[in-house]
Amino acid sequence: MRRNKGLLLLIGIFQMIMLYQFKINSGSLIAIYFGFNQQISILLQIIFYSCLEVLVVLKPLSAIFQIQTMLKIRMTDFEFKRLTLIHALPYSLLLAMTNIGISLALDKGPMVAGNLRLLISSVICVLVANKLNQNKFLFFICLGIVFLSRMLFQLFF
Amino acid sequence: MLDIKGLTKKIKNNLILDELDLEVQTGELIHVIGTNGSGKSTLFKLICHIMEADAGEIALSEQVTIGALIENPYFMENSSAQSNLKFLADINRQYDEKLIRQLLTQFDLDFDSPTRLKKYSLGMRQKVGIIQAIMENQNLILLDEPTRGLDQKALTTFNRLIAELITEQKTIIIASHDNLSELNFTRKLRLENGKLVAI
Repeated sequence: MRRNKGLLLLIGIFQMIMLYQFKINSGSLIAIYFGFNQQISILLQIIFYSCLEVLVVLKPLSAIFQIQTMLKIRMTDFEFKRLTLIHALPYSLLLAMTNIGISLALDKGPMVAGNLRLLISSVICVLVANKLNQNKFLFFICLGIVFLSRMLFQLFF
Repeated sequence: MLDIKGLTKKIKNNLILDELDLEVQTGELIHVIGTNGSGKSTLFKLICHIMEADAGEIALSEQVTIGALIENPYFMENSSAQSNLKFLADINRQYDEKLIRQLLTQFDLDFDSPTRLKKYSLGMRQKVGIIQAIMENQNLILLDEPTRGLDQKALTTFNRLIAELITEQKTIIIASHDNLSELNFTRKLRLENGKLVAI
C-alpha cells in the first residue's frame, strides 16, 4: 500500500517537473500529456510515467491474481470480479484525481478531455485485468491503451 | 455427497474428461492416480467450479464446503503465511486463529513469523497450501499432489492429519503419483482416457 502511494507521488512529481521544464501554456500541456514531442527526453519521460500510471492500477491487482485459484474456490465469479474492482478502484481514482488536481491547478480548459481519457484508460485497465488474468501481458496491453489514447487525442484535438 | 455424471471437458480440442462418472460418499478417502495431463487437476477445477464443463453434471449435497489444493499453490508473495491464511479464511468469516496456529505448528511453521511467502521453499509453500484447504472446517477436501516437496517428517504429519480428518467424517480425494501406502484409502481409482476406473 505504502509503495503504491509512493509511486503515485512520484508520478505527480515527474509531471510537475515536466510542466516546469516546458513553460506552461495550453499548447505545451497538450504536447506533454498527449503528444509525442520531437525531443527525445520528453518522449522518454512520457514513456516512463505512462509505465508508472499502468503500474499503479495493476499493482494492487497482482496479489489478487496470484491467489485467484484459492479465491475462486471460496467465492462466486461475480464476487471475485467485485473483489478485483475493489482492490483496483482506489488507486485508479487516486491516479485520476492526482492528474486532475495537477491539471486544474495549471490550466482548466484542455485538460478536462485529457483527464477523462485518463479515467477511461484506468477503467479499461481494470476491465482488461479482470478478463485476461495474466499480469505480464496485462502491463503491455494497458500501456498500449494509454499510448493509443494519447495518440488519438493528438489526432483529434 | 458428490455425484458426477457424464462429465466431459475438452481443452484445445483435446478430450480431457470423457463422460466421467463418480459417486462419493461422506467420509470416503479416495486416491486418484493418473499420468501427467490425464485430467486430475481439470477434474478438481470442475468440482470447484473454477472451470466450466462442456457437458455433464456435478451435484454436491447441501452443506458441502470445498477445500482444495490445486496444482502449485500461489500466494500473496509479499505477505506472511499468517496474513495469507487470514485473508483467505476471512472471506467466508471462518478465521480460526487457534486452529491455524495449531496446524502451522504441526507442520513446523511459525504462526508469528513475519517471513514473506516468496522466501518459502517448495515444501513450506506446500504445507501452507494444505493448511488453507482444511483450515475452515471444509468437509470435501481435494488435494492435488499434496506431498510434492514434503520431507519425511512433514509426510508423517500429513498422513496423521488425513487420518484425523477421516475420523471427523470429512471426505477427501487425493490425486497423487506417490504411493501413499500409509493411508487407508476407501478406493483407488485410475484416471485414463478421460474416465475413472477402479484399481
